[in-house]
Amino acid sequence: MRIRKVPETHIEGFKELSIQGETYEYLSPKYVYLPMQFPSPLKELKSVGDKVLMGEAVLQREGRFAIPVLSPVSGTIKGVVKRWHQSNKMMNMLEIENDYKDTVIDDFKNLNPDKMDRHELVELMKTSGMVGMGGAGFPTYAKYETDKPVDQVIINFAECEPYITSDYTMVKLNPGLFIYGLKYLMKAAGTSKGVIAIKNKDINKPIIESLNKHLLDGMSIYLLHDVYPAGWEKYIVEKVTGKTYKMLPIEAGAIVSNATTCVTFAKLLKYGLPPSEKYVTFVGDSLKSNGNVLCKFGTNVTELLNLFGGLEENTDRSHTNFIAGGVMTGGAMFTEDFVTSATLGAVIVLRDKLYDRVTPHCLGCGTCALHCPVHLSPYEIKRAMKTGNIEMVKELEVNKCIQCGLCSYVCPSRIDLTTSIQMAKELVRRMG
Amino acid sequence: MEKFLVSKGPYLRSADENKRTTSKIMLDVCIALLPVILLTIYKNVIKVFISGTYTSVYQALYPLLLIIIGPIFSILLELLCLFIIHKEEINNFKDLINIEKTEFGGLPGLFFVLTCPPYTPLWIVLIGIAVGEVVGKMLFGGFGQNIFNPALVGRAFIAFTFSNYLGASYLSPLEASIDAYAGATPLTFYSKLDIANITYDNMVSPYGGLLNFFLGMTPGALGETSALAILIGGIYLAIKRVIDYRIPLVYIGVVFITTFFIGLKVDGGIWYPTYMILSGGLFFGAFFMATEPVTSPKTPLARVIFAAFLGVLTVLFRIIGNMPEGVATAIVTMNIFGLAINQYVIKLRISGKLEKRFIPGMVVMIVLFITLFTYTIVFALN
Ligand code: SF4
Ligand code: SF4
Repeated sequence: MRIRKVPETHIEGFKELSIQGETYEYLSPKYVYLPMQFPSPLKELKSVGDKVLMGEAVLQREGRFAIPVLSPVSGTIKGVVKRWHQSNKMMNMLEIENDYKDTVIDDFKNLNPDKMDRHELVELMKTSGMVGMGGAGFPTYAKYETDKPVDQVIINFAECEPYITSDYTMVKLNPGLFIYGLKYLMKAAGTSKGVIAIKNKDINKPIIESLNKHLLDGMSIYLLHDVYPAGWEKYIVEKVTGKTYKMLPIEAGAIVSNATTCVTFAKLLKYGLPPSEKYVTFVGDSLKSNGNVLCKFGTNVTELLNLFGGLEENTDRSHTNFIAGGVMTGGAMFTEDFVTSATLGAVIVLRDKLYDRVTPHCLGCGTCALHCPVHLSPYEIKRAMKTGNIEMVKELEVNKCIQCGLCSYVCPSRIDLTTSIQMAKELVRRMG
Repeated sequence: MEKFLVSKGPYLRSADENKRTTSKIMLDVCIALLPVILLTIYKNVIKVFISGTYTSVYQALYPLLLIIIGPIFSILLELLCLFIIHKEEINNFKDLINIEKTEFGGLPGLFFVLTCPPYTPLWIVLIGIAVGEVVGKMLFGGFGQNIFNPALVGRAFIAFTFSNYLGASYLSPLEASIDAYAGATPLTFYSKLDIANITYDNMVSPYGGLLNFFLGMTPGALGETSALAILIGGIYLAIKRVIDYRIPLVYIGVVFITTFFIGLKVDGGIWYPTYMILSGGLFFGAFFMATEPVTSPKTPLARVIFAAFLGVLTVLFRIIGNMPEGVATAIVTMNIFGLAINQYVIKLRISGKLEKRFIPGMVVMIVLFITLFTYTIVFALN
């Protein structure tokens, strides 16, 4: 398959803001909450009142890629409560009260990864309920359990969303663990080649240097351009392997895992710590201070917010976006009272700049089309939606959109193209 | 507790960072027009004053008056239209102004007068602007929705309706005092000539050589004569990425190549194609009108095809149709086809067929097309 050049757009990173800030650990929350309906309804393995250990399966994702959801703490299941999820929906969650003992389940104790074969490592990914921590939350084992030939494992360390430094902090503080994790990810993939794809920019220089010192046989670093969306899996695979694919990277002989996932795997193998924690970046012009915090999945964001001093005084909530995730692909929340998860990389609080400003019509400059990584013509799709021409929307292949947000970002008339296209995509999918 | 605002993502926009907003783009267009306006004031007002050939101060200042009245009139007209369209939402004058802020109403008027002869009767100018504004812009729904370039709609309208009034209005008092200027502008002069009479002596010498054409010291529409001033503005716009350099490059290039072949039939001099690209508003049309974002295609390949057709049409209108306003008519015509070309290219882009190999193919096709076309014209001239 031929590779088409993906338009590369530089976006300012604003990474210094959180890098210069404090780094906290908040690993003993009183309660953690696990969503029972996300991404689809989950099966309950434990019931209210049961005692659970850290790493014990409490819920089960069902369907094609079934994995358990483990308890991030040890304690007691207190009940089922309604909580805000990072998708800005209220849903039932399992409330687990922490006993502050951090007693880990026996299954993960004294693992000896050197003695484990490829199959056992993949099985461990499955029983530990590992998911990709870059955002999509796809079960990790499903990528590694393959009968196709694997040439290389690629670590996606692009972290191309502006503001977020969650992967950055994780690797910067644990370079040795990171390499250790990669070593066994390669083993789990049955390959001797591992590539760390990281953006070539100034703030990454120290990390690249320190990783260079730790690299083992078969590992190398690939320097990505400082562009958006450099963290798009297809982009990375094309850059690193020179091959493209239709559905999954494995078609190009690659397995892609996120940097935090890699460290999490290392912590599991080395310390027997089940996947239960990650760094969340807190940043934005409406926060008292910025930084990162290592916290358990399911921690209440309000508690974490207090570590950073909370919101600026006289923050006008009706003109402030409280964003779960990145500014490009994340979504705004009604309230700060929601819980973190394995896929939440940041909490960003920004004043809305559009307030009280009139925006002009589309001037037809075509900028959105020039920047779209999948070569769509967003303004045409929006126009076709406006006139109700669904046939046209389909012909414009709206389903290819990866919802990167670039079209809205570049538009000089500040048109909400991404949301329109998301709607169009939804519409086309529902109509089949 | 009060809810947070939930606005539409992404929450980072280059428009918010004030990097590249539509207002800035429009401001850049105005900046790019400055050299053109300054030059035309120099040529049509200052030089006339210095020469003392004017009969009244009003006459001498008339071109300047047009440049001022054009945008003001089109803004006023637009305010009126907007008031009628948005009657329900408008409570006070401020609301109206807020809507107008995103409509950029002055530009069509300004562009229109710049394509008019310096002494066009005021009533014709006002009618032209009215037609351009109302038919070309507001009837389509305002800024961003129009299919045709509003200024050119007005211009084409007056060219067809009032052509008798326009001929004499090209010459400044200074220019009128020069006998050698037999025709109104180089091009109207040209359209009266027989092919046998198309010679350097007949066509360029009266105006003092090709350099004068380049500098813009020949009779012609207010903003169209000086290739130099337009080039300065145009390059500024291209650097600022407001316009796509491909459009003027291909447009002017195609006119040059086509007329070069036609010139072989005339007397083979390189002066002929040079003369053809420097006269009759081609530069102004190519840099400022054909590139207008609202009405031109949005993808690079579509723009190249669009511009190539513009070149061909312009020559066609000028030589076969005997129309000095070939540029305006060509652009308005291509505004329709531009949409279709764009649709075609968009689908190619999405499907991935628009690969590197495809583009040279298109170029070859365009070149072939132009050659064929030129030969047809050359035979037609016989
Ligand atoms: S959001 Fe979709 S349409 Fe917009 S630039 Fe990204 S992929 Fe293209
Ligand atoms: S970038 Fe914005 S103004 Fe330009 S064509 Fe796309 S939607 Fe229209």
